Amino acid sequence: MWTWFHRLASPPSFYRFADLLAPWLLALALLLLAIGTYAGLFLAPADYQQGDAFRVIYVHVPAAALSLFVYSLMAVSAAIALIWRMKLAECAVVAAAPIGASFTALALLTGMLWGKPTWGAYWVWDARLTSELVLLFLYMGVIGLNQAYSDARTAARACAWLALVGVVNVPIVHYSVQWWNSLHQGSTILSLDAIRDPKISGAMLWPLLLMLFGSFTFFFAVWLRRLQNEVLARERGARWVQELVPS
Amino acid sequence: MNEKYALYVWSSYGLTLAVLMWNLLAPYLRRNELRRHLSEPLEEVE
Repeated sequence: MWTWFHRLASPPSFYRFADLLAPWLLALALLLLAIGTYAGLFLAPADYQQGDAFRVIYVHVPAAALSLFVYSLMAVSAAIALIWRMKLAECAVVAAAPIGASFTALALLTGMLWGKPTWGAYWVWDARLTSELVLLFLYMGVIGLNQAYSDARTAARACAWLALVGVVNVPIVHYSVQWWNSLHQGSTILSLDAIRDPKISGAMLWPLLLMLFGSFTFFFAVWLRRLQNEVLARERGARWVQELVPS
Repeated sequence: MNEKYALYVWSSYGLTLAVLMWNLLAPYLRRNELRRHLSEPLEEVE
């Protein structure tokens, strides 16, 4: 098993592995997202307080969960890149940042569209919203740093440091609704309390779970593709890359 | 769907579709660009 992981860390092996896995992940993701969207929009009953406005949950919660997960994944990859100087881990940090940034922006925008009919305002300087905005700035910092250096490895190491330092914001975003008085509601499913005592009915829950699994699968599919591009760009002088390019 | 909320809900799903499409297309466009760049030195050598 360990040997398999070790072999997978070599750029050509990883490239071929990603080529095999990504299409299947993408197909599964699109299937889950299609069923989840249909069920969320048309099958789940309207909420007794929020009416149909609650249907934004099916796109907002997966985007918000991904925004935290992707940054945590970047921090773990950053630690591996800085400690063991593993090239693939450096690529992982750089490749995940644009995806994480897009889902963080989506979480903020869909949150605003949900906030207006339920709170009466698109935006409030609430702990959850503000810390999520800081998370978006951190993602943009990583993307900006990566483009600021001409040397890819120096850029990746700078990005890794920012990803590692910025991860302190992840628990702040997650626990902000418990630590401070917040207009934002507590976790619907992503907490131990919510697992012990579900705050959402089964008819509303299953489309949300499909959307969550679909979004995470989608992330892994597109992350693999971006990782492949990073590997290609860095290994451009290698023979295996030259063999891939059509003559 | 209640018309009072339709604009907010459909806008959210529209934005989500846009983000998914961008995430799908961006790596493929970058891949094509990389392949073009990678083939240039080979052609020069030939």
